[in-house]
Amino acid sequence: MNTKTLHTHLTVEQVLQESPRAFSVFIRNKTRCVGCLMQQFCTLKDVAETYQIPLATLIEEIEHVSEEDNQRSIP
Amino acid sequence: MKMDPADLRRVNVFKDAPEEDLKLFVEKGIVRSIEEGEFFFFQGDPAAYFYVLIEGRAKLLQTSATGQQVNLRTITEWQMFGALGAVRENATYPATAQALEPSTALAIESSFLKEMMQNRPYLNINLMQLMTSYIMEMQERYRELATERVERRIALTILRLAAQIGKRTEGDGMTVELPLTRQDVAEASGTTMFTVSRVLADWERRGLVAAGRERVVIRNPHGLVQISEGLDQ
Repeated sequence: MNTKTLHTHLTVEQVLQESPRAFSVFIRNKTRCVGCLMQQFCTLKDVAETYQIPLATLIEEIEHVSEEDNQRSIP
Repeated sequence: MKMDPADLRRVNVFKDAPEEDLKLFVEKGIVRSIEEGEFFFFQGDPAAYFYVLIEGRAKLLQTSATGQQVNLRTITEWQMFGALGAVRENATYPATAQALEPSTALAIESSFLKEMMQNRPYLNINLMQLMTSYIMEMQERYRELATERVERRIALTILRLAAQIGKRTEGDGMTVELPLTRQDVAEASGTTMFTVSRVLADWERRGLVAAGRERVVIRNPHGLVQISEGLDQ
């Protein structure tokens, strides 16, 4: 995932497809998003609002694990 | 441990008992003290004694054939328990009584209570009061369980259908719209349209959904997920 394009309007499903390791961020922040039937509808902005997590922090954490994902995929 | 018969008046069933009756019950009683985790009786044992908890706390638990345990109630000081042997022939205890802390109880033969009941209306009335309060409590719990189950089922059905055919819309925050009638929801969740209408009306009032003639709008997806997972209690 290009970290520059990580957008607040990406859904949980899109984030998880692009960066599977992001599941740890959702779990660490005590959300119930992973496996939720609403993950194709909820954006990062919705998640931040629902669980009262600062949006910037959530994005930062996801970008951090995404970078790790990208580095691992480089042979 | 020496017991003052007058203390037994703290037991609802004995609240109207004359002094001499209380003395008889204490004379016939055996005081039993047990440690935390130990048992006064087991489910299936002949219900030969009834108990009055004098000190401590105990729980009544029932075990199913598959080994699942359900806590039926907690017994606190001066409550009577295990008295069904006095009114049912060859009764066995329907539950196990286990001490939650070091506890003491007065155990009296059920047959003696039965004998006393023959010509003491206060015992009959008070025992009936105890019975009816148990029945009312169980009815309430049954209703809670039944409605909770159907609510969870309807919530899960709507969420599943939303994941398949829902469309995200922007109302007051994120909403998901589904082209569904109440009848569709009823059929998909295995309940009646009447129940679906009642549940949806309640959710509408709580701002969780908006239900139209042929559509359901999920206004608070997170709230609905919580209901489906039984986390809203």
